[in-house]
Parts: sequence; C-alpha cells; structure tokens
Amino acid sequence: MALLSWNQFTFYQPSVGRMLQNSIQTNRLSHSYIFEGPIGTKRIDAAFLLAKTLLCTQKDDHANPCGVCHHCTRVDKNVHPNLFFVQNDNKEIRKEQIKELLVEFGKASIETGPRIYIIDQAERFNQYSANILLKTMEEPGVDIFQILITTQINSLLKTIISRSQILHFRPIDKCQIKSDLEKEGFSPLLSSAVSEYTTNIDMAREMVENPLIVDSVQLVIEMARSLQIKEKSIVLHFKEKRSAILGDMAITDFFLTMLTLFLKDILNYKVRYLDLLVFTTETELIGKLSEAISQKRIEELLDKMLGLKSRLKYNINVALAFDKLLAYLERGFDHGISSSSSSI
Amino acid sequence: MGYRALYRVYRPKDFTEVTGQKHITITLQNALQNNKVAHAYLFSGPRGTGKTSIAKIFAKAINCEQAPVANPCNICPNCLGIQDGSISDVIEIDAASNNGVDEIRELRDKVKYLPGYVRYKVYIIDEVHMLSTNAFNALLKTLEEPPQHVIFILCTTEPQKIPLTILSRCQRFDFKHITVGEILMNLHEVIRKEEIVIDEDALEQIAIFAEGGLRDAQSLLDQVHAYSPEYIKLDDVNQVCGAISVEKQIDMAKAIIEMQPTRAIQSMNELIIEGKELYRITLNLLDFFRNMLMFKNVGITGVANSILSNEQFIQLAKMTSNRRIFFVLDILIKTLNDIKWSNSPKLYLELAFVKMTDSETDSEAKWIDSMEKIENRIDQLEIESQEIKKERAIRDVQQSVSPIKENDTVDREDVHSEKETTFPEPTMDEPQAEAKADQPDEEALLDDTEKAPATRSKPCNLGNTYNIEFIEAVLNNGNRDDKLYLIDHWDRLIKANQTLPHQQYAARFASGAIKASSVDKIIVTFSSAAFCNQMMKPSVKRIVREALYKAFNREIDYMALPEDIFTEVAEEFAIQWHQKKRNIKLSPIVCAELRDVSNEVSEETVVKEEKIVEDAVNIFGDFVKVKR
Repeated sequence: MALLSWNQFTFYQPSVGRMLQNSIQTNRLSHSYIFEGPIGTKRIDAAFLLAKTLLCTQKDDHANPCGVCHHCTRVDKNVHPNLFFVQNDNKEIRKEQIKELLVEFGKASIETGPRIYIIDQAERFNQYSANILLKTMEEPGVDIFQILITTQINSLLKTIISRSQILHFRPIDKCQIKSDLEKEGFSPLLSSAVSEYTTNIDMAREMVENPLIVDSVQLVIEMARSLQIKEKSIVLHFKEKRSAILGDMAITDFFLTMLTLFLKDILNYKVRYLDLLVFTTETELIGKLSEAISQKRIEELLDKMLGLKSRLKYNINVALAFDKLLAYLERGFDHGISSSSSSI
Repeated sequence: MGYRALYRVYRPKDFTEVTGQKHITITLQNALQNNKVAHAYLFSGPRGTGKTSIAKIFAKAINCEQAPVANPCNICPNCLGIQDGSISDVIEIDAASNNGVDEIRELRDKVKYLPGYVRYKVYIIDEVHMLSTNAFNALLKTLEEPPQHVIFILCTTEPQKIPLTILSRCQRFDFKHITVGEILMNLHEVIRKEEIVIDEDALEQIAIFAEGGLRDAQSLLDQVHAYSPEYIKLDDVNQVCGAISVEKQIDMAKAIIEMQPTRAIQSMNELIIEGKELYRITLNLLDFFRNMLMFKNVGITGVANSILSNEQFIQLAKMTSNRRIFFVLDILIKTLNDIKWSNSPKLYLELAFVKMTDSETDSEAKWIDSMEKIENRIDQLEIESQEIKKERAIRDVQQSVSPIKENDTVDREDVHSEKETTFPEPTMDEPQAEAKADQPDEEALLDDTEKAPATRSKPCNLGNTYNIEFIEAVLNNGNRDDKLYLIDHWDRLIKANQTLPHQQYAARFASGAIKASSVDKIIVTFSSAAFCNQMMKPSVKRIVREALYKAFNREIDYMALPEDIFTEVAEEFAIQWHQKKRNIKLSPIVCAELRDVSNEVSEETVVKEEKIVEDAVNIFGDFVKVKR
C-alpha cells in the first residue's frame, strides 16, 4: 500500500504532509528527519514517498512523484541503489550496521542524484551505533538525506534529536478503525477492543480474525463476571484457560491490555466518564463492579497492571506474575465487601 | 539541491559571532592574544551550545597568518582553508566511530609529524566520551606531553564518562545552556538575513522550546518556516513542536484543580487527536504547575514568561493551595517517568488525571490542611476540660471530705463509726441513715456474710454501696482478657442457672454489660440507676454471686453501675492513666439516683428469717435464744 501522492498522505497526516510538501517545493528540505509516532501512522510509507520524490526526475507541479519512471518503480520495490533501508530483526541496531552504512556513503554513488537512508525502529540504537551516526548526521555529504523512524523519540540521544527535524505523526483516530472494522462485519465489542490496542488498520484486521484474540476478550469478560460470584476464584478460572494465552507473548500482552482496559472502564464509570467505555456491551456489569470497589483501589490495581505490562518484555515468570495480579484484583473487589462486614 | 540547514549556514565563523559562552570566548581570546595556548582542551556541555564551533574557530585563530590574534581574520588562505576543510592539519575526528585503541595508536603515531601548511596541527576529537578505556589510556601519554606543534581539543556532551586522568591533563571549559534571551538575539539575526516573517511571541516560543540548544532553535525555525513559508504565527510553532496552547493548558489545569476528571480526560483526548505527544502534554502540565508554584511563592521568575501575566492563570494560582500543587506535581513527575519507558503511555496519563482529580485523596490533603486547626481546638478543649475537672474535683472533695476520712478509720474503730451513723448528712442519704439506725444488728450480720471486703465499712453514705475503692481496684488491676472471656461466655449465666431463684436474677443481671474485670471483681453497667440499686441490694447480690459462681466456677464480686456514671468514671481514669499515673485514685461517685442499699434487706428475707425463728421456737421452745 504505497502512497501515491502527497495529497493522499496529507489526508492521513495533515500537518506533516503540509510541512514536507512545502519543504520540497521551496527546496528547503533538511538533511535529517526523525519520523516519530505510533505504529500504523504511515511513517515508513511517508519515508518512501519522500525518497521517491527526491529521486524521481519527472515530478509534477505539486512535487508528486510520477510513479512510473525507472526511479519510482525501483524505490517501490526497494531496490534503488541510492536508497538504503535499514531494518532490524527486533534486536538492537548494531554498530556494524551503521558503520557499513557510513562506509557506503563515504564512497561515490553508483547513480547520480540524491541518496537517502532510512533507519526503521531507531529507538533500538544502542549507545555505540547512535554515537557513530552523530558526526555524519550533522554534516553529511552533498545530497545525502537521512530519515529515522521511531515510536519512542525519548529513547533517542538528545544530540541526535538536536541535529534533526522532528516530525510527529499523530495516531490514526481509533474511532475510524473501529467503524472500519464494524463495517467489515466484526462485532462492536471486538472492534472497539482491538481499536484500543492498535492504530494500525492492517494489524487490527489480522487481530480480529485471530481466534485467540477473540478468546482473550471473552475471557476478560468471563473473569469480570466471576468477580461477582464469591465462590468462584478468578485465579483458578484463569488457570484453566491460561495455557492458550500465556503461550504467545503477543496474546499475553493483548490480554493484559484488555484486562487493564476493563478496569479502566470501571474507573471511568466511577468518575462518570461514560463516553469512551471500551466494553460498551458490558455496561451493566461494569456499573455493578464499580460499586464494589473504591477508586483508590482501582488506581492501585491499574498501577500494578501497567507495571506488569512494562515488565512483560523481561524474562519473568509470566504465569506467576498473572496469578499474583489476579489474586490482588480479586482481593480488591472482596475488600469492599469484607470491610463493610467487619465494621458491623 | 543546494539547501543547507540553517544551523549549518549560521555556524559562527569567529568569536564575536558565538552566542553566549562569554566566559569561554574571553578566556580563549586572551590566551591566543598572549600566546599562552595550552596543548589540550576539553570542551563539555549540553548539545547545541557551541563546543565544536568554538573548537573550529580556535583552530583557525591559532593558525591565522596574522597570529597572534584574538579573532581569526577569515580572509587569509589559512583561515579559508581550515573553514572549507581543505587544510589537512586541522583534523576533526569522530571518536564515536574511531573509538578503538587501534585508531588512537594510529593517531599517536601521526602526531609526531610536522604540520604541512600551518603552524599547528589541531586535533578536534568530537564525542570523546565514546572512546574505549583502552583508547583513553593509549592517549594519556601523548596528551600530557604532545610535540610543540600539536593541540588537542576534546569535545563531549558527557564529561562524567571521561577518565580523571584525561580530565587532569586538559584545560576544561564547561559550556552552559544558552539563555532564552541570547537565543532570541541570534534568531533575530537569522530571520533578518533569511527574510523570514515571524511573530515575536512565536519566536519566543521557539527559543523557550529549544531548551538551551541553539542548534535546536535554528532547526526548529527551519522547520516552522517550512510549515508556513509566508508568515509564522504562534499557533504554527505550537503545531510544529507539539506544544500546547496556553488556553488548552489553562483549560486542563482548571479541570484538574476543580476536580473534574471527565473534563480533564476529555481535553487530553482532544489534544491527542490534534497530534500532541503525551510526553509533551505531561511536560507542559508539569511546567504549568511549576510556574504556578513559582508565581505563588517567589513572584515573577527571571525569564519573561507570557503565561505569568495571564489573567486566568493568576486566578487559578490564587485559588489553589501549595499542598495541592505539590500533590499534582508529584503525580506528574512520576507519570512523566512512567510514560518515558512505557509502551502504553496513554493509560498512564489517564490514570494520572484520575488520580489528580480523585476527591478521596484530595480530601486527605485537605485533612492535613485542617489538621492544625483541629489540633489547636483539641488543645484548647483539653485545657478547658482540665479546668472543669479540677473545679469538680475540688467541689467533690469539699462534699465528701468526711466519708473518705471515715473509710480510713472505720476499720479500726467501730465506736467511731457509730458516731458517723448519726453524722448529719445533707444529702439524700438521710433516710437510709435513719433506716440503718433502726436495724443496726442486722446490718452487722449482713456485713459478715455478704459484703465484699472493700465495702465492709458501715458508713451510711453512697460510698458504702458504690464504693469508689472497688472501682479503683477493678480498674487499676483491669484484666482485658478476662473481660473478653466473660463477655464471650456471658450467656452461661443464664444456661447455668435454670432454677429459681437464681434464674430470675441471673436473667436480669445478664442484661447488663461487663465494662471491666480484675478477675475476682467486675463492673457491670445497666441503663437505669434504679435497676442498679436493686442489683446492689445485699440479698440480691448474694443470689447473683451464687449464680456467677455456678456459671464461671469462681467467686466473682461485682458492682452494678449506671452506664453514664461508669463512662464518667472511666474517663477520669483514662485521663490520669494517660498522664502515666498508676494506682489511680478517683473522686467518689455522685449521683442523685443511686442510693445506699447496703442496709436494706428485702422484705422477703426478713419474713423468711422470722418464719425460721418462729418454727425453731415452736419446736425447741424456750431453748431457743435468738441472737441478733
């Protein structure tokens, strides 16, 4: 789904589109950009569009690439010799990768015209690779452009940020994704849950078709229901089903997010902020549960959940961590009942 | 494609063009002028403050044809050559990519060769903090005593990573953040030359947003200029750098201060849809409340800040307490940190908003606020109540000086007590005194059998039945466990006494509440004083004590008291107890409804006794001598 024109891009990201288009037209493009924003905000597409625009020899009046010339087609296929796209396989960007790149740019180019390098997931720079880039970044050779793509600008070096123009890609409106999914025939509950989790429409489509995702949303609701029944422990309930959920890290993360969102719904219900409930179909249940727990308790629980969420990426005993969390959750709801009985 | 970023175009070419850092430029210029140049310098400071630029200017100045000069001429071939990088004697090394020991060895080997074109070989080692430990150590000797023709300039943003041995061999210059005013001056220069049209407040916003880095400021100006090439307004700057407009900030802060989580989260969502970064939102809010704190406590801060003159801001600041601001700041700082490292920052911020507007926690803060007031009031009340207590104690003592004396003496001298029986008593005890006088012998008999040791004395006042010493004894030797045990097993009293006459009294007695116990003595309270009077009658007491014995299998003496009287006594006891007094003496009980019943014998028993005597007389005739 490559972008064809700047107009198309501006539809998704008005402010970034306007700025890039203006820069190209007035010939004020900076040599270094950081494209920053959540996944699914067309950052890579924009980088390729920019590369195409720079390389294309037959641009129209609005700086749109022709899309048919030799340069454009090769950029689309990512085989242009003047375009370097550094991707990495979920690990750190190593020093060698950047060194290779710099050596390449030290040489004369094979084809005439500007050269562009795009580094995806720039937050994965380690200390060495980031520092190597610094000097080249400040004063690269003539007609060299660099684009860093990242989700977390704050994990980049301050010195790198200061050398670049930062373009903030705003998240695609999740209501848009939600309504898209609903139009495609998925249940409203699932659509709103998935649209909370990701703003990437392709990823969202994949997710709603994954039975495990559907199951985990269902499980969250089931567990919430059993919170009302004193005899049923959600820890045990979870134990019966957890093998499917804890098997895959992505699903685990999704499940935890759903659990957090459900609790957040309860909190929102408590503070009477009903516009943005995720589990809209369960309003009654949420209302009941919100009465059985104090606001302070919910805040504590949410803190714990978010803490666990950020710890998930480390090597922890996930099953144990979940058991602990759920036990705590359960006690949170019990607490309301038992404290009132003990006061009698 | 000849465009170069503003920060590359407007790199200073001599010391006069350098923005800020006067303390460094003056020192270096003097050194150049007086030909007292050191062989190694270390420039450290945050990004965009001019480290590399000054290093280059310095390299030019020292090699200028007209040296020694304070400023490079920028017209001689040396200056121009160094400027465009064609003279290879000024060597700019990127320490980050040449950080190994091998590269440094190579450098060390080349150091000894004389410069080719100019007087000095200048090594500018940028990002020097990235050198490996080995590389640093390899450099040490050369750095200490390089050849005459070599000057080292090390530049870094992280001086704490440099070994101390390197630091001690260099002249160190710490670069400071460039102030907003200095950045503004520089930006004015740039917009004049570039013919950029920009509002003054927009320019100021850029300067503030750059956070002390001139490069950031120029880069941002570049960016904003690209965003709206014709005319730059404040809104454009906010749009580009993701800053939040003052109105929005105030809106959000207001919602927080007025405890409206719904509105606060709503305005946050609006900002996100506008494309603002969460981190930036948090930072902005943090700044906002910091400003508020400053405004409230310090007054206007040094930096000219437009928000401080905002009417709404001032109003908000006035209605918010320091404590509340601290509370909000605490949460924001924590959230800022969480957001930085989390992949679900939105949840964190939402949670923070709810926390900040949580009325429960806020009321806690309010409690603390009003704590002092309450404490003051308590202090005052305590003083007052103490005075009242004193007054009452004095009054009581005046009223009951004689009874206390009696109690002390009665045990030793019976005769004495006889006198007391006729002691004129102004209180309601008078009738009893008369009654007692009628049946003195009976009373003596009852004394022996039924009266507790503490109440053995004969005086005809209230202290006789409701003897304060009894209460003192119980309270001073209070046994909490036993009390709880008795309370738990109180129903035994009824279960163990199913026969008359015990049943009747036990059931009545069980309606009371045990207030204190010293194992062999207990205090039981009832709601009515009359009921207590009845329970304290010796005849009743005997039956109840038997019932208690049956129930708990041990001798328990008791005192029945009306609830309110006991509460008073207990309070008096508690106050003294808290004053660390032990073996506490209490003032005697005063109550119009209680009567001294120690002399009263229920008619029933009297009748019974008479019947027994009659029977005995009937059977044994004159042998019977009734001894009373």
